[in-house]
Amino acid sequence: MTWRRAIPLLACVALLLAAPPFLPPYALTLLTQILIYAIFAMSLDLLLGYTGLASLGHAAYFGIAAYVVGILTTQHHASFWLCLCAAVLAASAAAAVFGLIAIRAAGVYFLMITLALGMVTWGLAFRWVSLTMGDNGISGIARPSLLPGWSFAQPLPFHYLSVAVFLVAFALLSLIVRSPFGLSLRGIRETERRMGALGYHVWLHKYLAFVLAGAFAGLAGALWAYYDGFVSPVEVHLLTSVEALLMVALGGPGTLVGPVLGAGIIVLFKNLLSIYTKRWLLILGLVYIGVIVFAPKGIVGALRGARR
Amino acid sequence: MEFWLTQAFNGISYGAMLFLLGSGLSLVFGVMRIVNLAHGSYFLLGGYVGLTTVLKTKSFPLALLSGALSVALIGLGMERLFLRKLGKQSLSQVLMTMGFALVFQDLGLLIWGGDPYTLAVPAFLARSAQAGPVLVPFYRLFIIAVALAVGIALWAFLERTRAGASIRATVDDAEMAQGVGINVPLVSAGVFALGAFLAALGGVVGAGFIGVYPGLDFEVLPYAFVVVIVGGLGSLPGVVVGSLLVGLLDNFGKALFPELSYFTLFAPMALILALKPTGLFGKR
Amino acid sequence: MSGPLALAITGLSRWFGGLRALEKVDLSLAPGERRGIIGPNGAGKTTLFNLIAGEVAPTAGRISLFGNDVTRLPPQRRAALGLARTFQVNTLFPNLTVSENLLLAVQGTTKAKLSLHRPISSYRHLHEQAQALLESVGLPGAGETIARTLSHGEQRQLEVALALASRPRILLLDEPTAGLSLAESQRLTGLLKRLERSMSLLVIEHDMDVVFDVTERITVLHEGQVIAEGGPDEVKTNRLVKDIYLGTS
Repeated sequence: MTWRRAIPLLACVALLLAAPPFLPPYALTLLTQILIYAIFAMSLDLLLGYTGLASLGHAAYFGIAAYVVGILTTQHHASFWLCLCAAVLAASAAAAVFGLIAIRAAGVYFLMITLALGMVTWGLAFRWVSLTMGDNGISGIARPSLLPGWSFAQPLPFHYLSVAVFLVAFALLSLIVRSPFGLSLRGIRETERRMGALGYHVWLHKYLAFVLAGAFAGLAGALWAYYDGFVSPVEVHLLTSVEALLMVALGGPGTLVGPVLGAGIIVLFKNLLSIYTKRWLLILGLVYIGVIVFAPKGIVGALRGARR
Repeated sequence: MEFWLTQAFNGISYGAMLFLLGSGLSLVFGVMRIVNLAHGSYFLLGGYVGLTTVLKTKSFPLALLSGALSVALIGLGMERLFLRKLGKQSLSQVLMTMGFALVFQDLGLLIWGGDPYTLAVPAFLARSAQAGPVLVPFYRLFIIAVALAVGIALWAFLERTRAGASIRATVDDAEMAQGVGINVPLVSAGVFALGAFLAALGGVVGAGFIGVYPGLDFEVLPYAFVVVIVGGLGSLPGVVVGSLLVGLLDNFGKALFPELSYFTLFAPMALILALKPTGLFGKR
Repeated sequence: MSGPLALAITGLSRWFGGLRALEKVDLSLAPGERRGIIGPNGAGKTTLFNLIAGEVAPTAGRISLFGNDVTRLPPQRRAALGLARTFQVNTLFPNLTVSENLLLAVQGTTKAKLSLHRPISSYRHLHEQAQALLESVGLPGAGETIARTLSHGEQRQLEVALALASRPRILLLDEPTAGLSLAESQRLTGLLKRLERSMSLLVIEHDMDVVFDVTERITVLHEGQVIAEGGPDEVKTNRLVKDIYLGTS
């Protein structure tokens, strides 16, 4: 990591840590939302940007984790750490099972299979009313308390919790993409055929990436359940999966930082836009189309390309 | 006994509607390898247009035609003006078609509002007859008839006409087809419009019994994909088998295990894909 | 050289529908042997390589590497047994740097490839091996260059370097000098001749000078079958071979 790259990053981290007490409440909650979605988007980037696998069902793991937190908290009053671990484990287990079916496929088949798997998860969330409360969702998810007397019910403490989780996720994912495993994923994305000839068990690498991506998506989902206090089938819907894809595509796949930026833009856009117009879905659709027409490599990709 | 017969009949008629929805997707995929997330929107828009046509003109045949044709034009526009430029970039195609899906959904909301509607079908189709222990609604028979007619017409078109041969050649190997002098861009545009036509036809037909409402587009989309995945991309017999399978499984699943209904779709799909990753009748 | 054959192929056939790309091919390679594979286009040479490498399953026949039956093994297992290959068309990692290309190749047969807890920059021996490869194939200092911006000749050199990275015991080269200038061709030939004597080589080539220079024994394929095999002089004077190559070098 050169100093040229490290300084802007350190500056951002410093800002993340120092600025929140000075932000107005609405801005603070938006920033929390952005950080949670950034984790979600980064997890997808591992799969899409680094391994070259575009999944249309990534929200399944986000949602499953959110539901686990919702169910454990409201029905069993489980502690924060138990919920978090159970949620991430559940998301990873789902990815492990779904991955067995999906990773056999490539390219467009993979897109369709992950779409179907994601919608099956949605269907379960929607119909298994005794477990998930169906369309009504699970509400009243209380904010966790890490230490007795130290509750995260207030926006500012919860925000710092999110910052901490985000920084941990970012650090772990950065380590993974800079490791030999990470390089292998990029090799698979570039020229899969050569990888087999070079001695790589390509399926295994893809599968591991898939499960890891699911785990980190689960981390984001667990945090989301606490943030929003409410979980519904929307969390596992196709729209959420595609939104994550857009965040990655907009920010720049394969950069890790890009998806964070993409998450920021989309969250701000959705929230601010819906204040001013009822037609925000239409405009969001136009944004999707516009991004593809004008910035196919995403923002970070375009910036890096211009610098070279 | 009556339960099984009724469910089987319902499953077959639902499968017939899914055939209309899935055949277009399978063809589009076979020729262009595009994952079109707006395919459900075609279904929905077809239903809405058909609905309005029946309200204004009281003609059901006209509704079928107008719904299907108008959406075919929309599909053609999407392909020629936007998708063609993307070549083979799957992710960009997905995101762009998603954009269109969102635009269509909101336009639907804007024009037709948020209430659910059911298309008013001609009186003679709204009746039912008793066939032994089973009550047979005529409309469901109608759906099966439409699907059969369309299926036979598609088969004849693909197998017996020159245009159909061009399409089959392009599905097999687009580069070779281009090399032999087939106008692949024209085939692509035509197939995309045909796909939209079929989906919208399914939508008009569906509007008569499941209705039209916001959100229907994304509800039917996974069904379309499962039909095509199970049957195998680009294969007409595959779509027939896939849609029947999905229709029956979904109906029996909903009737027997309502809480796990999507799961009854999932399990066979997973099994089939585990054994044959390209679907039952899939090629590469 | 003693020990099991580096490569033993018996009765190898591969049919694509009605097309018999390879028909009952037998071929044995002793450890350290340098063999050329020649034949007109469509003779089945690349199909042979794809079968040996494990990318394509045979319709019939057996393949064994150093005494191990690999007929049903996937490519990565054969790489672990000491097989490496180059491709007729450059099959590099175009958007990665030359160093990253080589690192991928070097770590491919090591346990490091599944490690995700340490940055790759901390694996010094991998980097040293990559650097050594870079120099041995004549691309010193090109480490940070993006692979797709290299010239065709340089890409071909990288192509060979990737195959050498795993220190293979048997190396398959598919038309290594294709598209190279005379100077580049000579440099590559020099490199091949300097390879360790214990490394077995199987070289598909159209350039007869390269074949006669680098290899000691030549197998001639035609329409999927072996029609001649022997030393350079034998093959040069073979009537059948001359008929087929009438007009070509």
